[in-house]
Amino acid sequence: MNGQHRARRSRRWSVPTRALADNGGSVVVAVLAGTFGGVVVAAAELAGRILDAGARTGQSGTVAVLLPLAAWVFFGVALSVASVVTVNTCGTAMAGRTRVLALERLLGGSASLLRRRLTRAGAVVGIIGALAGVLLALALANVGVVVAGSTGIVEDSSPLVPLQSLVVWVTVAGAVVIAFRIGSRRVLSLAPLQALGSTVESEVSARTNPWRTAVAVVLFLGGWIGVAGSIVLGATSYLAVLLAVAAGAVSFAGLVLGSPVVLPPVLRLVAAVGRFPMAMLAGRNALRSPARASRAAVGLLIAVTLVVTFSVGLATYEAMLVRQVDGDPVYYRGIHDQFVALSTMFTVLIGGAGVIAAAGVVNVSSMTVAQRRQEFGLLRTLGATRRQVAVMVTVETVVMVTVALVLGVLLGVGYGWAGAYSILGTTQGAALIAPVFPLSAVAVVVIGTLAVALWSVLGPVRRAMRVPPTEALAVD
Amino acid sequence: MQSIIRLDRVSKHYGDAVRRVRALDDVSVDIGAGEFTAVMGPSGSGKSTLMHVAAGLDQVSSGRIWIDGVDVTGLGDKELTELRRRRLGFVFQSFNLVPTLDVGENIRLPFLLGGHKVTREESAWIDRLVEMLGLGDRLSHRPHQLSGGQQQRVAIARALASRPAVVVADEPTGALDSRTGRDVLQILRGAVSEWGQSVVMVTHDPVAAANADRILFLADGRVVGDRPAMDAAAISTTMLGMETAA
Repeated sequence: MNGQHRARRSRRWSVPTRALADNGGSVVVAVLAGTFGGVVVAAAELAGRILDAGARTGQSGTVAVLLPLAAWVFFGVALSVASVVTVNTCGTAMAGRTRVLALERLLGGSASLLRRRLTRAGAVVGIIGALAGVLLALALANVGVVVAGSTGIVEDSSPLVPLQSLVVWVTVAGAVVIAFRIGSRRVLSLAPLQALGSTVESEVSARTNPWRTAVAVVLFLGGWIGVAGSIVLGATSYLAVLLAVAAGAVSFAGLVLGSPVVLPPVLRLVAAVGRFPMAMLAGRNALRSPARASRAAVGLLIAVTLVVTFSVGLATYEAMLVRQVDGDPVYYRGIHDQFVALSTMFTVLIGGAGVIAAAGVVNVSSMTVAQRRQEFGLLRTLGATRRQVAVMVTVETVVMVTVALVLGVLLGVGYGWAGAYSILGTTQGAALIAPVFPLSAVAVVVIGTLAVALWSVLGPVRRAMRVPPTEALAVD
Repeated sequence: MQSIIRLDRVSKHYGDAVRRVRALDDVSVDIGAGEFTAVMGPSGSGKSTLMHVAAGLDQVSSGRIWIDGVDVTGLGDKELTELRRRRLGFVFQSFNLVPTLDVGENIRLPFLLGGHKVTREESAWIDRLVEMLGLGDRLSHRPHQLSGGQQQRVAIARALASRPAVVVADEPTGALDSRTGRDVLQILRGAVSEWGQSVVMVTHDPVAAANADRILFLADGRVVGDRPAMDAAAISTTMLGMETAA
């Protein structure tokens, strides 16, 4: 009786705790994404209070409208980054479980049952992880409010409970569920035989979905047309910035969707620059598992694009403001100082987004190496030295970083420019200027990205080097 | 008789002092040059461990091993890697071709890893192997486009390409149907008979072992039988005898 009671209790516990324990990487990402979204939302409200306290908005009514607008822009960015990174990381985690899932199919689990279970695990991970993140963010923000209240920066130091936190929670949780749902679609096409493992890896690139590619192209091109449109409309309405954000997100989504088709050949081409055997193998590996290769690159691309978008955007915005201040010092009195303060705050927030994306990259890199033990063991058996295996993994990373950097900078300049102009286009004395490219910010991006990439690959490389040659012979 | 691999009082154990598993227990054996040697034994007999240490893939706990005259017990990872690349060829149960490389590239992979160009003479030898194994019209195919038997032929070509001192085969027919399995065994047998290639094959299949010149039986980490060529029925009887004795 007692035993039965205990058994029932342990079963009740086992579903959520096992879901959390089995999906450590996804939980981390859900928590980070929730925290980031929560902090952005809280920071926007805090920024509003700072402005209320100062009431130094000059005479420009537009600027008073712009702030909440900017807050919404950041809110949107936070949600999309959180979603994309979550989908990305959960996808990798799912790919690593093919073997176990195939075994369960072999033992008689129906595909729909397994899918239901995965979706449920995703719901547990998403709801609990995102909630933990949002609560953490609220705690941090309220500490900030208390500090700001005691130093007199804000007058209103009542607890900060922005309602948008709920939206962050639901969105991040939803993104996790969707990611698990997409990832679990593989289960339906999984042959139970894959559990037996001695079959050769099937070629994934051979069956890319033409519909998916078409949708990706439409989203990407349509998105960029929208971005261009926002620059045109920016001359007549500052609301064009909303179009710029939406269109930017759509075009980026198109790129992410199309990345398994577009990125691997690019990665291979770049790897071909190194004319030594391990570079050649590294390049081929990009094609071997396009989803895997593009996932890590996309994580990095998000971080680079975000940081470049905002540094170019803010720098361009500032240059436009400076011109306007010169043109009409009275009208724009104080705006510039305020801008500098806010841009500092936003830069910190964007840094946070970079950290989330980086966490995703670290996650993806280490899972990827864990999934490739047999491949490394085979190369070692056939006479590859430890160094050669390390070189191969490093080349793969360097190539990925290079591609993500170049692509991210190109995209970021476009997005940032469109954003800056579409906000300020209607203000008095605005003129369309070329995008301002802040060199120091770009240096930070390059160094930061390299640091993240090295950090994310050091552990995996060391583990790859330690794979013993006998691993190739292990049937399981 | 000249030996190509020599094990002298080799032991290999896993785990700590309390729960020690003895995978190889004081094994001394000479694998003859130019011979086809089969290693047989029930699961857990230590035949896989024997193959791992005899091919320089794993370290021994005690004893010494010579491969092609080189004492490998004291070698560092780098020297062992080089030895594997130059002096050993591997054939696996699951073929283990590199999926991103085509057939021709897979066969030349050990040269690629060695970082040296394939000489004219080596190239001629590879062409001959490709011809012999019937892979001539498959060179630009990728592994997933080939049947299991064809994949194993590619793996054999890769193993023979560097003219290794010895080819180590781990259950080479384990993933094949009996007809293609027979082909693969005939290819290995032919390499031994025609140009004196040394081959060591680990298997639990009496039909496969019947192709060998010599059969080593392992049980509990020891060599319990060392017999010249036998037919499949005799091998089965010996194996069954070992099962009941255990």
